[in-house]
This record gives sequence, structure tokens and C-alpha cells, in this order.
Amino acid sequence: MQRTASCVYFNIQREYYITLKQKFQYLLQKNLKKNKIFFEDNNNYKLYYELGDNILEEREFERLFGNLTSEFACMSDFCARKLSFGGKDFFILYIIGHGSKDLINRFVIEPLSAAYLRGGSEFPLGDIVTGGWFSRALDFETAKNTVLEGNALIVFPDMPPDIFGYICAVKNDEGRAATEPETENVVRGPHDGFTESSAGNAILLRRRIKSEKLKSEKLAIGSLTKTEVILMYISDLVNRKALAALKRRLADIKSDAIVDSGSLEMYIQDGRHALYPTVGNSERPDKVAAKILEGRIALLVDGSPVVLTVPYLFCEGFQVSEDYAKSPFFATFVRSLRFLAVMLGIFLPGLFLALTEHHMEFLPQEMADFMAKTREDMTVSLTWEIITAFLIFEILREVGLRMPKAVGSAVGIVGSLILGESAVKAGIISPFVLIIVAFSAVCNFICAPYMNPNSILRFALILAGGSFGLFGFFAVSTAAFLLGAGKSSFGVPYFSPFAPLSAEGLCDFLYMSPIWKMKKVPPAVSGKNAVRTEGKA
Amino acid sequence: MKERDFFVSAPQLFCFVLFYLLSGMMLFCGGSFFAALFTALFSACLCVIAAGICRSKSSSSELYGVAFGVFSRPLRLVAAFFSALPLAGTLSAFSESIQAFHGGEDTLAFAPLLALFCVFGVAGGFSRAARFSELCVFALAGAVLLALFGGGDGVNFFFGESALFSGFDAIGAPAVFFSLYARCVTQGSEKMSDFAVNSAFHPSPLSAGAYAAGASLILYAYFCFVGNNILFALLSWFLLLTRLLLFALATADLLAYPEKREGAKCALIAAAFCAFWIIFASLFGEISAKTQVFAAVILPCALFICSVFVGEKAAA
Repeated sequence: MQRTASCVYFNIQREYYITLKQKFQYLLQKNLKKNKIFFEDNNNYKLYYELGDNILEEREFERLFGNLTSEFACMSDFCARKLSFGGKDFFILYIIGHGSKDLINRFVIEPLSAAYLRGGSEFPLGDIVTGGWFSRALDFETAKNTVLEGNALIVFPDMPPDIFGYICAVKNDEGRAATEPETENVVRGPHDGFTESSAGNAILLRRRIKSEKLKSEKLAIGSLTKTEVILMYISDLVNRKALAALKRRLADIKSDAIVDSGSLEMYIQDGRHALYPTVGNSERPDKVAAKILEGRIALLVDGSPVVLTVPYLFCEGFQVSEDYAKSPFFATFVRSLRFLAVMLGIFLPGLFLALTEHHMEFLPQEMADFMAKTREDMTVSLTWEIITAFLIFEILREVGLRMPKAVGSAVGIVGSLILGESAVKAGIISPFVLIIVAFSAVCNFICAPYMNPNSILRFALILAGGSFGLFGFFAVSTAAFLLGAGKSSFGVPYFSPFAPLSAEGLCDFLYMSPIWKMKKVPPAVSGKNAVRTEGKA
Repeated sequence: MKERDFFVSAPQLFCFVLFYLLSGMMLFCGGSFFAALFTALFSACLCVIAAGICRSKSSSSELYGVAFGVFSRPLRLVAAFFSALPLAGTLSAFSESIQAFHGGEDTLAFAPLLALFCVFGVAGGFSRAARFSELCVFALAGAVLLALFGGGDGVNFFFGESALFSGFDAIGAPAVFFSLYARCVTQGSEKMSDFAVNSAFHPSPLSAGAYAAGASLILYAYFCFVGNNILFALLSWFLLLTRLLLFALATADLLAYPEKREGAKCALIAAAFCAFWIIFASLFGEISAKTQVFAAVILPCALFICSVFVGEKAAA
């Protein structure tokens, strides 16, 4: 290191360039204003800062350009296109396919060409480039990330010294159409669905909520994937504590890759080993928009058509967007049916087993006799019979899900008809048990969000009921209720509106009051007493 | 655990008192209308007294500190003893109730798990137990409907001095009422949860307790007439668990948990719980199964201490 009266020279490696620059900016903040400092590396890689209010940076353009392109070495899809207008060179850097060629032509090349034809090579770039979004990259990292995100970076030799390049939004947003999601069908209601583009999904929500109060915040998560995550919420309705908790959890994610909303959900959910979901998800824009209007926060993850919503309460699993388009009487009836079905799906096999194995005296005599008759030729105990039946069912379900559609139906036929009938004939499963298992399994499908956790709880109840009778059944269900009672989703009690009880919330749970009577935004979710409607005239 | 987890709202107090009294009536009143009536009347009076005394107090220890000054600590210990006694009694009765379904003679076999629930409930503060009691409302609604298909024994209207004593037994420990009212937050309190603040329904704690006493009497009479089915038995177990949780919470509250959450306090709770159980068991001739008593008590107590320590560590 040499030091002169006015200059300091460092011999540095190229990779320390950015680090030194950042340190130097830190020194600037420390008011070391009266020195002139040069950084110069072995390859004449030079930075010059004139200290004071203005920072000037002189660069050798070729060096900078070379540095930038070397970052994208061995990327066959990287393109650095050179354009010359009257001796003035422009370089457009983008990733082929990720950045749209068509948009680059329309928004960058054609305007530049037209401007040159009009008045020569001297023109302000910002006024010429017509992309939907145009801004400046003020540091090397921003310039690099811009290209990686699918935008175009425009650089040229006589750029202002404090600018690394100009960013033009030309991201290729081509993707599949917003078709109806297969997992959430409705008879009456909109038939569009989210796609894999987070920006496109945000637009679907904006189309439904045309208000400046619908805020969106963009984050990048994953050190390698830099997955774009957009938070959307209504500023007046959002639960501020939940929003703060969500941002904290997102900031705490230390992972190299977030490739889907499912993995993000695992990071942000309440509790390390939660059985029941505390983060909601949907592929329907109308459903997510309705949730945002209730004070929830939506998380749009780029690359995933499933949008997450928080806070998520247990009662949401029973609500379907179509309910709000039906008569409240019918909606109440259907919701009660759903709840009853879920309860039967969880508790029926365990209770049945506890009663038949340990407390036969509680069953009507005719039923007890009939059961004894059907089980005369059985080779296994009732507990194992039910467990076997459920295991076969779960295997068939999993196979049906993973197999291609054409084969899946064949598997279903083989499983349900041939295997089921053979199992009964072979004396492995009795018809009575088959009815209980089949009914319980069908009931479980009625509420998709709880399908998987309910299966686990059901198995636990079967084991406990079969081993310890009613006491085992009671113990497991009590433990589940106690655990659930202490659970919360982003600070909101999970079992609200029924624990803690809330009159407003109960109007939209099993009993559904007319929509014009739901005057307030659910206070449990938003944490506010916001009025939604004045009622019906 | 947050500070707010140690406070209950008035609707939660209603559920607590309702299930506490209903389970007490089921255990001790034996179909006697007058016993249930006395229970409801006594408890309503207790609610009035507790609501008056506990106003502006936030815990049992504060209440005793203001009332008894330097003698508050020994008096709290005595009160804790008298609330732990019915806790052990309920545990035993609960085990017997389960035993009635299972047959056999080994009543205490069920106690360890019940005690574990108790400990787990206390470790979650008042709010977890309160939400559990609110969930019981839905179980109660189901049982009320299904009870119509059952067949009860009806209530008897014979008046005797035993009805009076049964009423006292059903009430259990007055400390439960004082603890509940001290922990009950009203509108405007900083300790009230956001959920409760935004709720449209804000009854006064006094009326909540009084109505709960009346409702318990009506429900008891209803179940005596039409109850008696398998779901009713399961419901009664849930109610008994609520009662157990309340005794445990009241005892813990008297021992200054959770304000001073040091390990010593937790160990004291565990030791007291253990000692009370042994005393109770010896009083009623059940000390023969000493091993089971220890298994029933020491294991859950150890788990309780661990859970509290883990909670403190996480909070720190």
C-alpha cells in the first residue's frame, strides 16, 4: 500500500472490488470528507471518489462490462446484444426466454432506433425507452439481479458515473391461462384460477379489489432461488400484529431455495410440528380476494399457483366461496353437514371400535348380535381389521393421486371393487367394518384442507379406542382439543369464533346469516371493529 | 407464554363456572334437586362476594397480599392446600367414573393420564383451559340434543341435611371462584386480549357467574330427566376435566404462579400436588397402591416442571 499526501493506493483482487466499495461508502458516512482516495487493482480496475457532497465514479466501461458478463459465464441463454447508433454503442443484457424478445424489440430497440433517426445519437434514454417499468441500477448487485429476474439491462460507455445501467421491464410473463383450478371446483362462481406467475396473480386480485388501500410488498426469499414473494393486504383492515409477525418470520427464513408456496408455508406456520394447518391456501382469486377483504394477508409465491393466506382459522376449512351465493338456509344446512361429516370422519371409527371391543353393552342387542354373526369367520381382531382396511384405503388413495389419470381410474376400480370384495370373502374385513371405513373415508373428503391431518388423528383414535376403549378414545380426543385450544395462527386463536366465542364470527361458521347482515369484518382476524356493510335497506 | 394467557374474559368465566358447577353436581348431588339448588345458590353468593372482593385485583396472591399483609404467604399456602384436596378428590372420582365403564378394581390406573392433562392445562395458563371450556359448550349442545333420545332417572325432591353437605361438596373450593374473578378482565383493561376487546359482547363478571350458576341448575335437572347415554358419559368426562383444570389453576394461582415463574415455584407446585395426593389417598385408604400413586403424581409433576422450564427458556 502506498500513501501520498492526497491519495491512497490499494493493490486489490477483483473479487474484493464490491466489498471495498461498500467499505468505502461506509467511510464516507463517517464524514471522512477531506481525503481523496483511489482504489486501483492489478488490472487497472479503478475507482475514483471525490469526497464531499457529490460522489463521482470514473470507470473503464469495458472493464465494467467485462466484469458483468463474466458473472454470466457458461450461461448459454445469456445474451449481451450490441447496438450501434452513429458510433455510439449500447449493450442490452438479458436472458433469452426469461426476457421477452418481442418486448425488447418493442420497448427498447425500436424506440432507440426511432430516436436516432429523429435526432442522432444524443438523447435521454429514460424518455425514449417505452417499457412498462424503467429505472436505474445503482449498484452491481442490482444490475446483476435485474438480468436474473428476466429484465433487460441497458449499458453504454458514457453513462453517468453513479449508474451501473438502466433496467427495462421486459420479463416474459407468458404462462398458462388462468383456468379454473381442478382442486376447488364450484358450480356457481368465477371460473378463473391463479397461475404460476406471481405478478399475474397480483393482477387477478387487483381486478377484484380496485382500491389504493390494497397494498403489495415484494420480497425475494432464498439465497439461490431469490423467489419473488408478494404480500398483499388492505392497509385499513389488516391485522398489524399478524403482518409484523409474518414479516419477521419471512425475514428469519435462512434457506437457499424456496421453490413452492408449500415449502414457504412450512417455514412460516405456527409451531414446529403443527398437525393442522395455520396457513391457508387457495387457487381461487375470488376466495383470496374475499379473505383479503376480511383483513387477512395473501402471499403470492412466484412459480406457484397456490396463494397462501394468513391468519388461518379452523372454521375456514368449512367455508366455501359458493356458500355466499346461496340461500343462507341452504348454506347453513350444507355447512352443518360438512361439520358433521368431518366429525364422523374423525371420530366414528375410533368410537365404533371402542364400543365394539370394550363396551358392547352400550350397543343395541340386535346390532351386537348381527355384528357377532358377521365376524364369526374373521381371522383377525376387530382393531386390526379396521387398521388394515384404512391402510388399504390410504394406499389406494395415494396410488390414485400419483398415477396418471387414465391409469388412476383403473386402480380405483381394482381397489374399491375387486380388492374390497375379495377382502370380505377372504375373511380379512367384515362387511360391517367396510361400511364404517368407507363412510368415514368419504366423510373425510368433504373438507379438503383437513383431509390429511384428520387421517392421522383418526388413526390415533382407532389405536387408542381399540387398545383402551372409551378411556383411550376420550384421552386422545381431549389431548387434541387441549392442544387445539392453545393453538393460534399469527396471534389469532385457532378455534375462534367458537373458542374464544365470538357472536360476529359465529354468524359465518355453521350458521350462516345473510351476507347483508354480516355488518362487521371478523374482529378476530382483523383485530379491528371495521364496518363492512350498513345492512339491507 | 404471554401475560395475557393468564387472564380470562367474562364469557370464559361463564363457561368455567357453568362446567365447574355442573360437574360438581354430577359428582356429588346424586339426583337431588335440593342439593343442586343449594349448589347454585351458594355459588351465586360466592360469585357476588368474589366479584366484590376481587375488583381491581389481578391475581390471588395480590388479593391475599392486600388483605393479609405479611401473613398472606402462609395463608395462601393453607388455601392452596384446601383447593388441592378437592383436586385430588375429583381426580379419584374421575378415575372411578372411568373405571365404572371399564370394570376391574384398579381405579388409580387412569389417574396418571388425568393428572398429566391437568399439568398440561396449567402449563398453558388460564387461556388454554378457558378455550377448552368454550369447546365444551359445543359438546354440551350436542349432548343436550342427543339426550332427548336417552332415558334419565329424574330428580328427587327429598330435602335432607345431606343435600346441604352435597351442595358444599359440589362447590369444592371457594378459592376457585376467587382465583377466577381475580383473573377476569373487564372492558378497558390492558390485559384484555385483542379478540376480547373487539368482541361486541361484554357482560359483567358478576352477572356471568350468577347466570352460570342458574344455567348449571337447569342443565343438571334436564340431564337428570333425559340424560344417560354414551355421549353424555363422554361429556361428563369433559366437564370433570374442566373441574380438574380449575382446581389445578386455582392452586397454581395461590402459589403465585405465573407471576414468579422461577423453578422453585414450579417445584413447590409439584411437591404440593404430590403431597396432597398422598394425604388424600391415605385418608381414604387407597395408600396401598403407593407405587401407582407416585407414578400418578411424580411423572406428571416432572413433566410439568420441564414444560414450564422449556416455556421460560423459549420466552427468554
